[in-house]
Amino acid sequence: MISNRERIARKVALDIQDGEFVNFGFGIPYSIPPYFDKSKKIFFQNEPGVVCFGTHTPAENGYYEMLDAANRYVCELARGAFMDTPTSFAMIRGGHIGKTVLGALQVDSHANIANWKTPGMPATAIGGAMDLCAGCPQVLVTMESTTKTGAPKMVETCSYPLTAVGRVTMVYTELGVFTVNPKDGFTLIERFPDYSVDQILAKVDAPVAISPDLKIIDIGVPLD
Amino acid sequence: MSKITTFEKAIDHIQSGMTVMLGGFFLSGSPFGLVKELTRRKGKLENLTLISNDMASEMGYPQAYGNALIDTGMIKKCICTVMTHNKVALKRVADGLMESEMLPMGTFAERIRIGGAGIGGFLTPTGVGTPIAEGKPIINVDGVDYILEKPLKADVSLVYGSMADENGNVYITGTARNFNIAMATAGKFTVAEVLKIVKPGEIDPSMVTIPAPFIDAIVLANEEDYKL
Repeated sequence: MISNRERIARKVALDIQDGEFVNFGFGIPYSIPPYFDKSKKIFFQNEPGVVCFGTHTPAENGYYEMLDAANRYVCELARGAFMDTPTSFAMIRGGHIGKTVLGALQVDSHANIANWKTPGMPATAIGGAMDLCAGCPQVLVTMESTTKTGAPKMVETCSYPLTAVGRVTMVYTELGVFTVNPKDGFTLIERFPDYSVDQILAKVDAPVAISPDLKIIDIGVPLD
Repeated sequence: MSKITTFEKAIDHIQSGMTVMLGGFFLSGSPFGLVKELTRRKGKLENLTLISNDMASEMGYPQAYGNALIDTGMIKKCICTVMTHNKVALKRVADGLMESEMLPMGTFAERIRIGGAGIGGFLTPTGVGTPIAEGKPIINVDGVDYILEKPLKADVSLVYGSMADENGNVYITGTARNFNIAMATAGKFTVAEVLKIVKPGEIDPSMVTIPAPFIDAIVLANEEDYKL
């Protein structure tokens, strides 16, 4: 049986199109690239200042000048470019990277995202998430639908400190795929076959519209 | 006049109470030797403000010297974006021994860039409506709210280079560029630790990453410090 995180990663990998420029955040997003169909050319943008194509390998002796934000050696650069970090964030904030895929603690009906701090605890990192949300036209959130204690992470209003206001466009969970925007809130557009609509609604603590064109997801591998 | 100097003389420019910028993004493009020399001033320097993306996080490589640097107690305040991998820094902040100002990475980068460019502030949509905006002016331009963010500058900037000539032209490859270019411009006195020193003219002028006017001193890195 594949994990929730793997099914989410595989689904996002299916949905990202050939030729897209994408920034992948920590957590589930970092696990997505191995699932891309080999026929697709996906360009990875990474915060320190690189746009590249290919696969990552672990840091090796002598390669410290070529590491990404997760300390991984950045891949084949035949179709890539290096830049400094202010330029990297001009690319991000200026809307030149079409899509970012992020993890989150909460997402709400107003398309707000909270992913950097839990209430009452000191923050240990902000990183590039706020800039990515502010600049990228498409903000995809990947997360399991509930916390370890079973609390829904899709809510009506985030209770955690926000990362960005009104910027999330899509939410991918082990239940299915939702669109979200500040006007309409959440809409379920695709569901995994092992969750019924009622089961999905029970795990979201916010109103959810059901798309009249609701699709069943097939990620090409058995779910159980 | 050659800008080549020693680690000792370069770090002598740092005095108690100063603001120091430190280039590098985790292990990439961090001037390990300069950080090591700074940690040797334990007990002699105090009340420094450190502006660094991740405070030389070691990520399993102790030669980055991040833990040792914070452990000296000479850093009174840090301005950064990521503290996750510097356990000593997290503990000192939790214990109330060090102040921290954490910023979105793009805001951090641009505040340094404008600090070196003589610009008095910039307007960013990043962080509007979040705790980052608290206490900062919000300015609406053509219907969009932006946060006014001010420049960051340093008394001394410590940066990394792949190669330099004795005039101070620096070339940096790969992701090692990261914050080093902007920090070199934002320091009143900027030291570049470089892996290799070449004769003037050997770096193609079109490939110079940091032009000489931004660099005040060059030190030659000890290759052993960079064996990962």
